[in-house]
Amino acid sequence: MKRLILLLNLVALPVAAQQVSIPHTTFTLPNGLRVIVAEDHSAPLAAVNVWYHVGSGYERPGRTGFAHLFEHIMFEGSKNVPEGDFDNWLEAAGASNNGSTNNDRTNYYEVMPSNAVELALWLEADRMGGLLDAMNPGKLEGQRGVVKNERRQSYENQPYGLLWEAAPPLLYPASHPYSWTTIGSMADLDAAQLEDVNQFFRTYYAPNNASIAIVGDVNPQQVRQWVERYFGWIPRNNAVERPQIAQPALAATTYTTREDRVTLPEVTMFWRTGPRFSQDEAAINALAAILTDGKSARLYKRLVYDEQVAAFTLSGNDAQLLSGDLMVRIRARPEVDLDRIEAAVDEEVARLAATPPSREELDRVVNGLLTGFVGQLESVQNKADRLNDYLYYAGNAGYADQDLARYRALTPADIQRVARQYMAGRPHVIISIVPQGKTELAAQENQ
Amino acid sequence: MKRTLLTLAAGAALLGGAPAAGAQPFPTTPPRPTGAPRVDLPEPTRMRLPNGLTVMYVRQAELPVVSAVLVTRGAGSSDEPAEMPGLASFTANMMDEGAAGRDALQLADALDLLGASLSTGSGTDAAQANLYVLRENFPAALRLMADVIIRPDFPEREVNRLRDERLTALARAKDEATTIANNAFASLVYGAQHPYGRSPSAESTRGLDRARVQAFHASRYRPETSTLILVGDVDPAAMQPLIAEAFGGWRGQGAAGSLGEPPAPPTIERTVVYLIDKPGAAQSEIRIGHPGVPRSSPDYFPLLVMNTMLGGTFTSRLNTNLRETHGWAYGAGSSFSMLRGAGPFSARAGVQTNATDSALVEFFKEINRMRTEAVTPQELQKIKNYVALRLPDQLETTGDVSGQLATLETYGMDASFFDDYVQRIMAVTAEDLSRVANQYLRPDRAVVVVVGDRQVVEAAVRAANVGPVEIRDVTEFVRE
Repeated sequence: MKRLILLLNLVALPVAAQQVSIPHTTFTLPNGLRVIVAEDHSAPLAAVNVWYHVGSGYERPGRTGFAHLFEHIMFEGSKNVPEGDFDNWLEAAGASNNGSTNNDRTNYYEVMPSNAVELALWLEADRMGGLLDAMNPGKLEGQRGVVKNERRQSYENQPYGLLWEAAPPLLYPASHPYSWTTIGSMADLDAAQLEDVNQFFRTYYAPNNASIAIVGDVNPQQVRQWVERYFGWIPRNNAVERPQIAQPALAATTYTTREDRVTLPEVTMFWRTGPRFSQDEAAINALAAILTDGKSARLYKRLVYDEQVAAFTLSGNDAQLLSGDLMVRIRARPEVDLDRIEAAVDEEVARLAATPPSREELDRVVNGLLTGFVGQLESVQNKADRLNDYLYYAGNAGYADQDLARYRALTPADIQRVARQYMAGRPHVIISIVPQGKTELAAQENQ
Repeated sequence: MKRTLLTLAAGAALLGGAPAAGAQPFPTTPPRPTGAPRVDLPEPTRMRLPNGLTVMYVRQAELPVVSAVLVTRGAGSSDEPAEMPGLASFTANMMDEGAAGRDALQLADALDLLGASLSTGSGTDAAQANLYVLRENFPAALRLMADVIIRPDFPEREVNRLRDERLTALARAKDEATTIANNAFASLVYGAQHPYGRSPSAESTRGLDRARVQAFHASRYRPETSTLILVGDVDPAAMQPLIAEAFGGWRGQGAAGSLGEPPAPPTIERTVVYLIDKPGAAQSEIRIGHPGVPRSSPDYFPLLVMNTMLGGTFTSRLNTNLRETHGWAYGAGSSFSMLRGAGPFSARAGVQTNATDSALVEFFKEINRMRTEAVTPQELQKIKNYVALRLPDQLETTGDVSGQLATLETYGMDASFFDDYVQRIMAVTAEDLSRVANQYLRPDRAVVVVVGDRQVVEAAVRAANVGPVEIRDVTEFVRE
């Protein structure tokens, strides 16, 4: 059954003419749990994907990293699931599972043969309703150790890993919940108490603060019965207050230098953009790709291909619930002065602000984004995550066609406009990571 | 696509509870997965062009996309000259840097405009070109792919650029504890001359030039050793003329290189711990292992099950021990890398510095336990179910299917491998596990690599007494 409807334009090109939607149904339980079901019988597989609308942006100072630590505890068993059996039972049914935490949300998912969907729903319900019934100090201790090792492995023992700790406090005032990392500080991880677990669960892990997407080879009526039976009894909780914080502006351009045990100097620049699905997000994403993605991308071609002073160029617009940041990251070749790299970035941004890119340059980028979008829908888990993502950030699980329409509508003038409005001459944060003892390679003011 | 019903008592042995019945309160026991899970096996249409190129079509029309892989056997690192490590991957990487008169930028722009992604690379035993594109743009993208495979220009300028990029990458390789550990492990298990042990140095990299690349391409990229795999919204009848037009004119040039057997790995007499200093490291990267088995091993299935239990999944013994029980690592695992020859068995983790010694002891405890202790029926059932029932997940996307088929082609197998996959997994017994663990895990003749902060860990690692400790220098394994 072909569930994804592509209304193809009769002309093969441009790809941008294609329309995409992800057919699905939604319902809400009396306790507030929002449910999205999408049939896809192309493979005998299904994904169950739960989003809790809480992330590190809901933490308080002194307990940074807690939302993520809590995510780990969610796998350690619940009222009717002995420690270890969450994974044992899923694996015995041929399911893989995982979870992730960011500033705004925490997700959990299982991917399995479609005959195991009921088991996954039961397990998710048991931990949504009964995590604390089986909580004990040993679970917190165990996962505290694991998370500290995740931090060591992914940040401390990772060359340039300190970037992710350096950036947030430079981008946001200390009072802003995006001013710390999702992984948290070692001191705060050490400080976490059992009572924090209880309180966090009671505040945020409630059906009315979650949504669940079930995608794949399923019968929607059957899924609804299971969801009602397994989740329906879980009591609603107080409504969760979303942080209401206006997006802060960057006051001035700042330069920061960090030394690391690395060989190549690297500069990363951040500009403030806007929240997820705000008006200019698609144009900014395309602008980022025009700068760094593809051999002819402005910065790649100049720094990696022509001048050969950089090892790679990378960009991304991290648009979230409260704010967005466009990152441009360039790793230089040995001994290259990062002032040179910074100047090249400024020049290329100024060039786009002065003259729009060609239509073809924009089409190249948009066509790649669209192929990537369609490709993601091959996987039931990616599709499920996307439906939950649209529901949370756009307020509408059926946002796919509008999402893509934004890209199809882009014009070269839009790229020029956002280059001017968000980048050229705007305050930004510049972080240089240089080999130890080589601070002279860092990008510096007025160089 | 054919649909095969698996008849498995999946999970029933593990999940003690009765099936849920009626509108009752929340059940305190888990629901059993009911009904036999289904698996859709790819059923390729296989053809051969007159020039010897094999073409496989798998129709998977969920979405209007095509995933295409051209796999070329004998164009991987196993078949490059010993004095020129990196030549195979360098040649593969050079192929999309200009072809059929289009320069590197024109080629990239043409693909980007089609929204196509094309990558070229090589592994140990084969090279692969991977194309992913929407169906409408497939014909145009396939022609560009054919140019890249058959008519790469290897422009001098790009050869020089890519060589410099490799030297830059080599210069920073020693920054990464994982890279040091992987290089050192390969070199210490196989020796620095063996195809599975060597790695490029700055000196060998400087020797990569256009003539060598051209010669490797001419002798190794040939239609008769290649298979083009097309998965997606493809109709063989409609597509045949396009394939013939794009690839029909391909001919091998000059003498073909043969597929040699890799030399036998050196014998490891006893377990030695090689400690490589990484001052200030927050974790120690551990690798433990020795030569394993070739992909042709008759014990493929028992080994797959045994390794999954030891370190191939989240609930595996190594991960449970090092992560869940002790909290010393974010994760731990093991694998058999089954190649044309006997690739390595390796167990690995990044562990917190102050637990390096204890982690080593636990690694050996688990490897030994696999050999000496009978597995419980329950644990065996869980692992077999997991391996067998994940088959649909491994064949979900067009890229999954093309990738699986490319691996099978590399090792002279075809899609019939999947026909009895589930039965062969389910037939593995506790005795099989014990036998292959004793035959193929050799904790007393293993290489142990520890990349960590020597000042902090050395004394404890010596005291742990898993083997004599030798201090080795990073420059031996990352040669810039």
